[in-house]
Amino acid sequence: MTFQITTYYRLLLLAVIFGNLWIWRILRENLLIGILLIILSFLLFKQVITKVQKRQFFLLILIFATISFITLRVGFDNNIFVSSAEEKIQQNTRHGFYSVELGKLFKNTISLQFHKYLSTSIYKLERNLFYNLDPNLYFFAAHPRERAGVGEFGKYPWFLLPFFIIGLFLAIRYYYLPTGIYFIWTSLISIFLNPGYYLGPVLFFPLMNILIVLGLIFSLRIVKNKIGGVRL
Amino acid sequence: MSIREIIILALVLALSLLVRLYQLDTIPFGLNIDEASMGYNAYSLLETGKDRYGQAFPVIFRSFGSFQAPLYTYLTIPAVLLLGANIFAVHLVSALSGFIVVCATFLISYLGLKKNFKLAILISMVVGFAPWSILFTRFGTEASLGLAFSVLGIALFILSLNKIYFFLPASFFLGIATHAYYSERIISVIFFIGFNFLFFKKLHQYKKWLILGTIIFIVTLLPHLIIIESGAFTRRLEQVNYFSEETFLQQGENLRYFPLGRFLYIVREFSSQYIAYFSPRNLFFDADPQSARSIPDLSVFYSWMVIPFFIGIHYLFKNSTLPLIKVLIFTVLISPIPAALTRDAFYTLRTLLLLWSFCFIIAFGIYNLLNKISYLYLKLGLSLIIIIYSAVSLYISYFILFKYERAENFGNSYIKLLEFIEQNRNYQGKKFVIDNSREPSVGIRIAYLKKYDPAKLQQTLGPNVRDRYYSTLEFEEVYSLDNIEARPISWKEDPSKQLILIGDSLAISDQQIIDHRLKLEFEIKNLSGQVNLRGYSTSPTQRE
Repeated sequence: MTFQITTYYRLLLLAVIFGNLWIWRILRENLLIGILLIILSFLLFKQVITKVQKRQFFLLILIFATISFITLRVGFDNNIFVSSAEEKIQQNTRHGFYSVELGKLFKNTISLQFHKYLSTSIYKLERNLFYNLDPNLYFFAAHPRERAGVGEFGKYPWFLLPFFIIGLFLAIRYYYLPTGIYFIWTSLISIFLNPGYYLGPVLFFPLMNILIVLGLIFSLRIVKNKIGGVRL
Repeated sequence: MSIREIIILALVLALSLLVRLYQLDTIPFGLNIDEASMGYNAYSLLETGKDRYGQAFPVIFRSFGSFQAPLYTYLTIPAVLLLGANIFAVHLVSALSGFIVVCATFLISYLGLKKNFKLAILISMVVGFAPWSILFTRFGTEASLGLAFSVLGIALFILSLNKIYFFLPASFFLGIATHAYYSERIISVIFFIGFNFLFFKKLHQYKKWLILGTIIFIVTLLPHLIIIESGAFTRRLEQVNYFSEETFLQQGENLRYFPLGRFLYIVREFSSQYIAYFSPRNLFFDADPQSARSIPDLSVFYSWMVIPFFIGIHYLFKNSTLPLIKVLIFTVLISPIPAALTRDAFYTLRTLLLLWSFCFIIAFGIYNLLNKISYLYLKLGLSLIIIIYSAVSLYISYFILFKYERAENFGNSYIKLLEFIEQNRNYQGKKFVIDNSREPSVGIRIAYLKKYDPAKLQQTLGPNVRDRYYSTLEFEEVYSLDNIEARPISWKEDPSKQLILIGDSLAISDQQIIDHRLKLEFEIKNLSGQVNLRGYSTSPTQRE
């Protein structure tokens, strides 16, 4: 699916960027991050649809790195490498189960060290990653699986969900390289971000906008009957 | 297929059967409320031709204020006949259903993907060894049987595109699936209509077969008509849906002040529930919120599968002209519908067909990823690492953690208690009252494992529901099984009788022990070694 970025599409992107509660929350709490995210959204949109010039691409990386740095500085998950009292109890209980069931396979230095120091940290890194890969987090404030101890807030209006889904499929089908690379980098950064970070997983904001806009463009084209060779 | 391929297929099938039968009677070590109910009803039908309420061969089985789809219970009868009334017999139908699903999956994928053996075997492996598949086919649940019939139906429907006579058994199996599990009542009907619509051009050429198949499908649905007005047919949905005015007023938030607010609330709720079944968070990390339906530290798929899942979607759309892919996309779209109509978050048991469809997508992704690697040893090494990692994760999470941490979801302590009472001579002839305030299945579980005479139980439970079997919803039942009674402890009357009262620390508090001069007789520990149940003898003489 190819098309030119017209003013009309830019306006559509602008409408999506400002037509959600998330950006207003970000702008209110941290103006700098808000502005950087808006610029990043435009740059990413151009990168996904056409290809930006070298300077713009460099700017995209620079902004991405800046936002990553700021968010990690404030929202780094300090609990990743520290076990709470509750986690230690669970660890000890499980230590008992493994000893009984696995015997020598468990009672060796590597297994014991892995169980004591690494298993919980890996679990938490995975948790941080997958909590961000949840459409419900963005459209329904994580409903129906609200997380305990996390102040969930609505990010996008839920009626945009169908456009997001269409956009996601289009991205997987046609624009998998730029969106995929952005997605991988964002995911890697977000695994170190506390799930309860007050602005949410902000690096996903540009990607979400682009997927919704892609879905909107596709849907509008269908409505206008100008699909032009698109097959799903 | 070459001999080498046949050997590989046999190995995969044998291993998938083995992983389902290995320690089937001890992991999970016990029976949950539904299993106990189905097991005893099967035993009762075998012995008397009636269920525990004295109803002869019901269309649907009443059980603790709800109703169970009948097929699992009926298929458990031969298992109980051959193996006796034990845990293994109740789990067996589910395990065999899981094995049938793996076999049918190979058939579908081999024939539907241009006889690509490698891809077909990969799909079968993902279906055979995915955590959800192991979990739900190792305990007795109607959902696994529903899946088996649905998958058989889908396999035959795909075959019918080449040989139309398969349309008849396909319609039969899909119709029968509606008697296996609740979700299939909705999915089967939509699938039947959708399949005919998707392949209308092809099927239209064989009108006679089409009409005959439709008749067969409708005939299999007829038993539902018997109960359609009784309340039993829709009872489960009424218990779990969010359509009521009351729910809207409680949870409708701002929509309460909107015109068409209730309609918008239902649309919003449905969307959020529906999309939750596609969420990578739920599929690859955060398991089903109910501990009885989840494996510790493992969701329905292994977390690494998120990568092939996304790649698999790319492959799916690239090959969307293949009939199997069309059927898969359609199945993926329709199978979360029944679960999305309920308010339970990510209720995996209701969407087994969706999880089964996702296995194809994940396998497509793995296949494409491996194909991208040209260096053979790297490909083999990577495959080996992934297989070992998955096997270790599964063993640790299911065969160790699930065994210990989920034992109480299957009433393990009560089973130990029964063994203790039966084996300990000191307690022969004594009367026991087991508190069932928080565990209503205590009575039926003990009745099943004790092989309590169904005729006697029918006399106790039957009169309460006579002529109202499908309509009454009361379920406060006292299970009086020779010297064991399962009911809430009555602190007014029980301490003045010579009894042994059994319960957990919530049922019998420290204060009650002092007030009623109870004497500790024994303790029952759970698999983790913690005391779960305590038995106290009463002292009626001292009270006087």
